[in-house]
Amino acid sequence: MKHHTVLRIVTKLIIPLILLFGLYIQFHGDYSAGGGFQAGVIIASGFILYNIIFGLEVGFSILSINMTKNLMAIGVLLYIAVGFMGIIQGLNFLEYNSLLSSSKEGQLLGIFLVELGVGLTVSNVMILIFYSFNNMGEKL
Amino acid sequence: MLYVLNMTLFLIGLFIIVRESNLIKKVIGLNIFQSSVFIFYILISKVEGGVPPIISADQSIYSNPLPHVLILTAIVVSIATTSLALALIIRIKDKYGTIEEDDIDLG
Amino acid sequence: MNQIPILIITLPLLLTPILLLIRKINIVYALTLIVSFINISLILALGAEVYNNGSIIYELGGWPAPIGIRLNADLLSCYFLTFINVISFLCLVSSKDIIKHQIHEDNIYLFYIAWLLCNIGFSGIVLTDDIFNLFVFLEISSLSSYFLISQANYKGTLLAAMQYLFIGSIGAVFILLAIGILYAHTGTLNMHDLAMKIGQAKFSESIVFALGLLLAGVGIKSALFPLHGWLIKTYAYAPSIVTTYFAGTSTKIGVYILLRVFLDILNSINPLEYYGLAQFILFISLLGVFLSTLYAVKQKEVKKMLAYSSVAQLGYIIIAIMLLIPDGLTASLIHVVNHSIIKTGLFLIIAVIFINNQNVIIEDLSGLGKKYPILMSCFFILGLGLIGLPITSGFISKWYIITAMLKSEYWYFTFIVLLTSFMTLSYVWVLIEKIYFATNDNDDAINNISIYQMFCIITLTVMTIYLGLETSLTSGIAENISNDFYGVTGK
Repeated sequence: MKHHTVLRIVTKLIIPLILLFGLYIQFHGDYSAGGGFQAGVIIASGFILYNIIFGLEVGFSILSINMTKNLMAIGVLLYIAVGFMGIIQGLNFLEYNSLLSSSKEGQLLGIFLVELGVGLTVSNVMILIFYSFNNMGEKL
Repeated sequence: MLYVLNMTLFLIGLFIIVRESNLIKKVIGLNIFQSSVFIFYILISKVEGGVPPIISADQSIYSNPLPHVLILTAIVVSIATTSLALALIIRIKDKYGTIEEDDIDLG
Repeated sequence: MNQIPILIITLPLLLTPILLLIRKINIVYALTLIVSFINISLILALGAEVYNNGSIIYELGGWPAPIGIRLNADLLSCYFLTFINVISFLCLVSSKDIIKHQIHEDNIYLFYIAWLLCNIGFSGIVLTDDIFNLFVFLEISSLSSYFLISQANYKGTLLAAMQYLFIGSIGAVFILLAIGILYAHTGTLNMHDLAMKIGQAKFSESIVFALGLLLAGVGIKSALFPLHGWLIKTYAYAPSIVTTYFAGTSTKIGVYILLRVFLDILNSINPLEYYGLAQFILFISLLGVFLSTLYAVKQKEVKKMLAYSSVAQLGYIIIAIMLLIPDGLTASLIHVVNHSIIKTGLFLIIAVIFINNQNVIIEDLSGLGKKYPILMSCFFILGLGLIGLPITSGFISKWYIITAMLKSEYWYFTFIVLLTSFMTLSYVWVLIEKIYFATNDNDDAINNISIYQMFCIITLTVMTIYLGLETSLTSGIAENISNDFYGVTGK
């Protein structure tokens, strides 16, 4: 769809805004509406829009399928690592109080890291679903 | 009153899943069915005279934020189910050439 | 150590993304086996602790009861947890040679990841103390099972997976709506808290609606009689090792949810007696047992015959629960374990021998008695266990079920249970007659059964005989559990 001028120019203007909005929602999860899952979907939709307009090969050169799978795994690992931090220090799973000096800072850091992990995983899952629906029949 | 509308949506979704023979329409019916349950959760979380549950300085009555979190989890589950169903439909189309359940010939 | 309940769930969950990063089949397989084995040892330690000292409660994130999510490992949970993970481990050990032939090579690491996720889902359902967490783990296990079932390349696989997906999702949404209604009436999601508050809640028709929805949802998951249609197609068209795994575990999880919700959480309003639900389910399950056994006799394909047999045995379990006396609950818990071991053994023998066959029909079994003597004697013993002959564990469970029925004075139902046991004899005899007394003219090559698969099958057979002779593991623990449930009113 690269030859549609209007689509191309509007996409180039809008995609940075979409990604910025996604980041805003990611980091404001504990303060207002938002959180990891919503942000992941918004960031993925920005990337998918870029792929639709400019072609799948450009998308593959930025974020290959292997990279997507790796990032997915890293997101889940981040979540579970934060959970295990509590167990290592003797408290329960996902207890954020032990992460930093005071209990309140520990909670904030814990929520931040956990939402980061969730956002990373969800955005890569959505992008991988988009890739696999476009590769239908071929090997992933 | 809103609950009655919600249950109507519930039954419409269930009817679509049961009666339609096109697989994509069944997936749409499944989505309507699941969405009606999400709307039910939001309906029960409204507090009389409450504002959305975001802390602000001059409000004191907030709606219950717990069902919102439950719905978030359930929406993720619904998306995963829908994407799995669509992936299966793509494979069925590759294998049998049709996505009408009545026309699929297993013989 | 008091971190064990969460380690049972999160240790495999830690392994899953690592397996996604490493994509070599051998390393993936080895790590899966190691973690499954560690899981079993953790569960045995947990079981010993709970048996001696009472249930263990674990709070996630340190948050106290009604606010946070808790894990509750009591005797019922440990009972189910043990046999589910042991069956999973045995199926994984035997799976290496079978999978190479049935699943595309690039997908094998995804297969093991989905298997681990399904197991995490089952463990989570059994351990959790929060009813919404139950729904989440139920969906985790259901989604991975939809994936696992669709991996075969048999003729009806994709359509069977699609139908299972729709029916499973409908059941899950019913359970979700019921959870919402119960939450609206009591304001809490914790199971212990809910049990206290539901008794004090003002009566309203929506609670009756929620009970109906719960019954329908749980019935779909545990294949109660009219809702069992998905089971037949799923068992017949899944990869054979997946059928082996699900035959012993997925419907038993439905039975666990039934027990936990109807006998534990809703104990104070006691819906089974009050609304006559127990009588209703009892009649329908009897009809179901009779009809499924009849269908099993008529079948020509072996996997479908064993699937109908599973529906019938599940009917026995539900009937024993619905008698609403402690002996009934004991009988059903004993039969849960015994039937899982027997069915897993039967399906495993079929899976190990017929690696490449599309649908195993009865004629394919001819002459196997000479080719695989050890395996077929195991098949014979497991078949006797299915009928319920003495020395096998099937006899113990049938005995307990019949004595429970006689205690609650359902005389004519006992007659139907005995009649269906005879009909079970007839279809098992059809299989055994083909194996030992029919000759096969074509000379198919004998499969190399590896030592690990032989070990798994012999373990299951030996467990059947052992549990038929020395029942302290099953009936001792089951009696403890049913005394806990029925001894003190309002647990």
